[in-house]
Amino acid sequence: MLQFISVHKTYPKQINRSPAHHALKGISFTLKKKQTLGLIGQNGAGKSTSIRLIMGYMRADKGQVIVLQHKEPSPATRRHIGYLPETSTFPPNLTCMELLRFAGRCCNMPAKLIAERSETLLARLGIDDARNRRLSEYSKGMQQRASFAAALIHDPELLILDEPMSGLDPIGRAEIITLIHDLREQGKSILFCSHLLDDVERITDDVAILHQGNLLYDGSIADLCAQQTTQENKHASLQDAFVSVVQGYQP
Amino acid sequence: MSRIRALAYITFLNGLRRNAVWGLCLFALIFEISGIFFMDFFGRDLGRAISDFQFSIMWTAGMLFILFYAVQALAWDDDHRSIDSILARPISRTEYVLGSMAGLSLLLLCFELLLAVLAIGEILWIRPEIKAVYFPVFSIGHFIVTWFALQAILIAHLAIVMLISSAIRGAFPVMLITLAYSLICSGLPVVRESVRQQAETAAHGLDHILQGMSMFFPDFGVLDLKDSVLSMESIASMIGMSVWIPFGLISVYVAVILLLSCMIYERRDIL
Repeated sequence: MLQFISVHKTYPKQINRSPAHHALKGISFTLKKKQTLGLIGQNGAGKSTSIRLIMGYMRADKGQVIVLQHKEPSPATRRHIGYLPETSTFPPNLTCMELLRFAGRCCNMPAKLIAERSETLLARLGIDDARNRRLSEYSKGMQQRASFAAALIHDPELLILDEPMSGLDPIGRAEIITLIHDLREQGKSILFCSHLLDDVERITDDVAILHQGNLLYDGSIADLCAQQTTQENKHASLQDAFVSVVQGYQP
Repeated sequence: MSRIRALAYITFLNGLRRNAVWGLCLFALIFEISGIFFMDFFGRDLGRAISDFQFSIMWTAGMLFILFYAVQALAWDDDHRSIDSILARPISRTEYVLGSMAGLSLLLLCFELLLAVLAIGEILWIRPEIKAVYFPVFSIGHFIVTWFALQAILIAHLAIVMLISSAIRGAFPVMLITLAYSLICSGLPVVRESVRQQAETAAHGLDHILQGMSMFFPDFGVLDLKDSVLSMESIASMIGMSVWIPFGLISVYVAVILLLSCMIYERRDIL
């Protein structure tokens, strides 16, 4: 589904701004079909850069990003990807229905199918009453749900979820977690990116830990926790394991 | 094509619901109507003054739309990351540039059309009210051609906004560079004429440089056809083919600028 092979990415120095920054230092990992992988790391670890490379917003300096058997991410690959950005921002004066119609039309979906899928998704995400309200009037949580609906309208094979819980209240979070579980059962491949390690532990079986542009771990959560189990801490959580791996990193 | 259409539609719709656009439209309409109150100040050249006034309002309103709405609309996508949501669809960068350009152009043309209808109505209402000597000739057909020429100039400016936005982030620098572009375009013919008059003494090299510059900074004066609306000679001259050449050239110019914008946008990283 998705493969990173020794990927390097450096942000060039900008005039009067930050110096050049080596954001990814030769990372390699794979997301298999029907797999759910959590991509975790501190701020600046390289999570967002990885996602932008997958979406084709940027190009790798070295290495390869293979998405759905395509050697370079392209608009055609995005036909099969549902992407939920970290900040859900849209042209503010559109309604949710207009956004969904736009998303569907871009994927060449017939109008009838767009209407059917919109009905289902809006009801499932609890925003069907607000479908004809402008997106600028939505709360942050509602915008996140609208963005989720737009990501799912074309029934994609691969889901890239960047902080899907941000802005959601506890009930909203629970609903989204249930939805992600349902998508897993439908056989979707999911790359789940979050700071909230509890959510990652509840949703995914495998994680990739990024730190300062390096991949420190890629494997199952159970194995990671088992590696970190000590006599003092016999039931290490993902949180404990993550802290231990990151603190043990020596450049 | 369907993706360009879908993007153009949401760009158009989003702009149509902006209060700022309607505010600008309202002000332009008020200014157009205010022309009626000043018509007593102009003597013999009343027809010319009224017509020039209407075209000046349309030009100014169009430029304000480009500098304060179109520039902002493109920068908004970048600054607020709505570009991430748009490009999450199977839309290429080229389609994004063309879709945004089409949506903004459509919005600008609708806005200008509204002003043009009011301008024609006003001129047709004023003309029978005064003696024929003050307003001898008026041709709606030529008014429309002149309006299209004005739109061609505005669309060329919009294409320049797309080009600059594809290379530079932030609304303010794009607005400043577009304004500088517009000023250079209007000043360059004057400088060229001055250099040509001194051609005997000055080096020909400078004239060649200025001629080369006019490939990028065209002389939009050739598309200023306001005189054709009001004089029989100009109307007659428009029947010849020469007047249509600038339309062809400006279309090629806009196509090249958009092609460059697409090429730059395709290559750049969206940070």
